[in-house]
Amino acid sequence: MRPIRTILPSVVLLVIGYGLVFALQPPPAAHYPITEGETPLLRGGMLRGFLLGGEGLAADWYWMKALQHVGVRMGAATSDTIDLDDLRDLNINLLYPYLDAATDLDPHFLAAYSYGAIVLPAIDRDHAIAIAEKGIRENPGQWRLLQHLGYIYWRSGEYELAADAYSRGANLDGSPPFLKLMAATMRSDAGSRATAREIYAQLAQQVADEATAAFASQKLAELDKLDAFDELDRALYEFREQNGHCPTNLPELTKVLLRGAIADNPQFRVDSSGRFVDAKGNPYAVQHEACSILRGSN
Amino acid sequence: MQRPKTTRFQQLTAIIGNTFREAIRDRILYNLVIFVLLITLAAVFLGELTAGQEARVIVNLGLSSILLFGTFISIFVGVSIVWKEIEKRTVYAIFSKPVGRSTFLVGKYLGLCLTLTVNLAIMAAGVAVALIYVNGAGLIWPMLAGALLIALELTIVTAVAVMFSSFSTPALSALLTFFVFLIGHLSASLLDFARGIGSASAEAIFSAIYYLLPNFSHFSFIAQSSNGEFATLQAIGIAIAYAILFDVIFMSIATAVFSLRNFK
Repeated sequence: MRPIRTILPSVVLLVIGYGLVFALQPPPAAHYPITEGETPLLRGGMLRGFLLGGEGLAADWYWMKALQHVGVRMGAATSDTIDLDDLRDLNINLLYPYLDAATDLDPHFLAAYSYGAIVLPAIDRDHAIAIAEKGIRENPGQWRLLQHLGYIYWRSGEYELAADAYSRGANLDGSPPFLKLMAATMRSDAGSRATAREIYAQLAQQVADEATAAFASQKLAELDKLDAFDELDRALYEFREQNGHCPTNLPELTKVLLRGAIADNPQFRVDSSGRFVDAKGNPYAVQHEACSILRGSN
Repeated sequence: MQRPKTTRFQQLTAIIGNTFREAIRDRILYNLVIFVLLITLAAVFLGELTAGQEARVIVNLGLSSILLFGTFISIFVGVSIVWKEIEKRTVYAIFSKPVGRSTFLVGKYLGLCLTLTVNLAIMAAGVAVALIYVNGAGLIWPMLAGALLIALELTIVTAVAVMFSSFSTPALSALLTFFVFLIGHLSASLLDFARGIGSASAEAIFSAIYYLLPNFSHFSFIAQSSNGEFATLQAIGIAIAYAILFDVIFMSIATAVFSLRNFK
């Protein structure tokens, strides 16, 4: 065997070479800075037919870019609480172009339509409708997409249109009975929290992709929180009626609360130090002047 | 004592078997190591990135890789398969026996197709295992239908490579075969594009390309497979007929040219 020193010059050159490459290479983030108004390099429709059969893979790439874009923007949000009903301040402006490109490349990519229909209403209602309508056009037998369209219209308070979308979905083969129920509810009790709970519960159970199900679960948690606020407000009111003053701390309400439905609410529990806290451990606080629960406190 | 005369079929099977063994000895199947690594990594790491769509991505990634690896093997082995025999002068030994040139060429072609089929079957099995790992077993059958169509496409690419190798150098043959592969995938889109811009001459040129060269969009079913859709029996039937037709066309050209070559 030849002595190891014969390859030493090559090893040294290799190390020096890679050292220089590393020094010259700009940090990865500098390559692709997230800028205002940035759009995907090429629209999916332009690429379709030119990717040597790799359209599905390119659609997956755009899908992952869309998820990453939302994740990065959500992660970079400065406020502690993100309002899932209004994400416009987070500047998630590339979500629609990415999902549009993904569905151009693979028109049967149902998860992309679902995700767009559920998340885009909080960013741009028109884009949400556009992606849902495109999905329905390309996949006319998919009742889930009509369920999503109904959801978008319900979100924007257009209950007649929502009822119409749910009815169309209910008429498709294999659609579940709850779509008929939703169509009727849209015409009678569309604005109630119970309706919202039903819509999100169905979404969390029915959709195939984890991102949309996670979004629906978050919305259900928000509704639980609103229920908890209402229940605590009711307990405060009852306490004041009985004692003539607002309680100094929330544990004073224990007896009143035990009679209510709040004990089953996942957004309400008593922590080890006896405080009333939500699912994340944030304590509820009393607004003494109004004798109500402080909404912005957690 | 006179040796018994071999039939053309026996000659053909002998050449197919030798070509297959030669390809295995040339370590063609090493590409499977890279493929297995790729699919394993994808199966393990895609869960976080795709929000529950890992099975779909594995089908897209797996079938696209099968097409890519298969095409490279078709081109690079296909273009050297005849050239090597001439270069090593083994072709003279073969033709000194009562073996026809067409039998030799078709045997070489079918031997390479057999190698590619074995290679593709192993890769498809790898994708199936990855799908089971990510709880996407429901996509196995659509994926296998997609793999079958890729196999048919590769028979045409191999025929093109063998055709060019029958009269050209390996480097030029590889380049020309790659162009046919490229144009075959783009011809339908290019024809649409030419019609869109309204140029009569462009439309005539792209129409000629569309009909003279194979249109590989007949075999592109990767995205549909990833959505769990099956290729219809009619689509598979048309693809099989289309592949056989072009295999026959290109191999006819190859045997004609090869028969006219002077090896003296």
